[in-house]
Amino acid sequence: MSEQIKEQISAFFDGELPAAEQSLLLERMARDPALRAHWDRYQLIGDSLRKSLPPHIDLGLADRVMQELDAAPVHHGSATSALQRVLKPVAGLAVAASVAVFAVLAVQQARAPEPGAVQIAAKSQVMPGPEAYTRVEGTRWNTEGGTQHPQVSNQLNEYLVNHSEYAASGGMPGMLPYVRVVGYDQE
Amino acid sequence: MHAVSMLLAALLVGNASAGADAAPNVAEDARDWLRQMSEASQGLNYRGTFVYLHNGRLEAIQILHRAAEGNEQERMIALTGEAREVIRDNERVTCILPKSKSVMVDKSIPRKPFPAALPHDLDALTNTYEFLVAGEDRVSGLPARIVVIKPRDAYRYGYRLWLDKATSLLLRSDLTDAEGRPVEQMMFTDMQILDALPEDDLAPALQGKDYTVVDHADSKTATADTDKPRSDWVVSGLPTGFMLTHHNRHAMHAAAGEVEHLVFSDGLATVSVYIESHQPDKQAPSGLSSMGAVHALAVRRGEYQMTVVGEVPRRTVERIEQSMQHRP
Repeated sequence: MSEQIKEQISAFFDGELPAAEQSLLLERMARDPALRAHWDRYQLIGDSLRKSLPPHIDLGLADRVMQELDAAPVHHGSATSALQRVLKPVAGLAVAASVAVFAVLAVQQARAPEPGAVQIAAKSQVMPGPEAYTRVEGTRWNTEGGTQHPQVSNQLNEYLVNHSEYAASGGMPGMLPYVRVVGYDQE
Repeated sequence: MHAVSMLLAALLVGNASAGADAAPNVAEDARDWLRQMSEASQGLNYRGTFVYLHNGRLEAIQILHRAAEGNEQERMIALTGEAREVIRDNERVTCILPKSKSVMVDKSIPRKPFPAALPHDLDALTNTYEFLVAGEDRVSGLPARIVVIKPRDAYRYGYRLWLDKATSLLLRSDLTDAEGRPVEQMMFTDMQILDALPEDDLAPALQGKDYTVVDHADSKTATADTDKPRSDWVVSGLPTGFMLTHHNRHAMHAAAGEVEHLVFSDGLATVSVYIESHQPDKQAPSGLSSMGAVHALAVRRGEYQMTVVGEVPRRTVERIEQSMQHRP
């Protein structure tokens, strides 16, 4: 595996790889086991640092992570920023944003004085005040002519979550609608 | 670290060689492969990791799938960013979002065999899509058959699918625009087919006492209600091949009161139309938005607010919006 490809992976993690080269990288990844292993290692570093390793993966990897940190940087600056990227708090995927709204709603309703208010979250009979939406930090919706108000994006998110189940049940076989639900991470 | 291993065991679904060589009709051949893909994705036990590329971003996602005793269970975990999870079985869909410490539960809609039990059959799909077998390739070390689905007009996306030759499982998928350029891509970097998968593996990894749980599973939301509710809307002039598949009303958080929901599908692409009363004191979505392959168009129509959402090109949500006529 050439240094150039390693740099591409590194740039990829930094979000600095041009779109045209991303497709090419994916092609190479399909063919090159070493490249996939390299990708996995980047993945491993990020996962372990965030302590979010899936249960079936060997957990005794602090040493290996340290080795990676010592050995991996192809050019140091970008490897560091790749780590910063995975460490950076994530605002939550766009679709998640709407779920976060549900969560905030539920919390706020639970604090509300009137009994039975929690029901509101489940039944949606009452319009929540704008303060219920303040925890959501932007979304990945690109809107023509500027950005949507977060409250508006949340509404689109809720529609998308609802729509996904219909798309999964009646359209293209496979898992694509849920890939969108899980896969839309946020800046 | 992930060994790419295929354990081809007793669980092979269907006859993977059907239509492989001697079939006279290429389109039929391709559709046989898709049917097998559908059966395999629902009927096999497997564990895999795939990468998902969209809008210049790459995410890694682990998937576990278990098919046992007539129940299909699926768990997807984001390996990049926040450890988001979606767990789905025949009863419910659960979304777990660690950062916001929230769990959302929704009722699942039964999956139908491909093509979905729409009013039209597989042949009708050929009016809007062209099906091709486009040769062979290797994905993550496995020999794959490439199936191409080309849209016959610009109202839908196309697909380029790489199916495992042995099992028909989807190994790679490109969603393509009218010019054939990829809009979204996903590809397995690791795939293991297993005899069995312990049920525990499908249990959520993260569940804290302090999580907020919002349970919709018993609510009206997401019911696959086919009874036509009373409606003041008439649909005419849909893009070719699109038909109404669901029509219901349900409560949603973002909207005050009930939302009328119409679902249109051409057999592969799905578009939802949400109609609610216009609220003068509330900022409503407006105009066209997009997220990867998904487009959303929001407009005010008199006393109503309408939002059209689907994994279709821009022109399709625009056309479907125009096809909705209010006839009280």
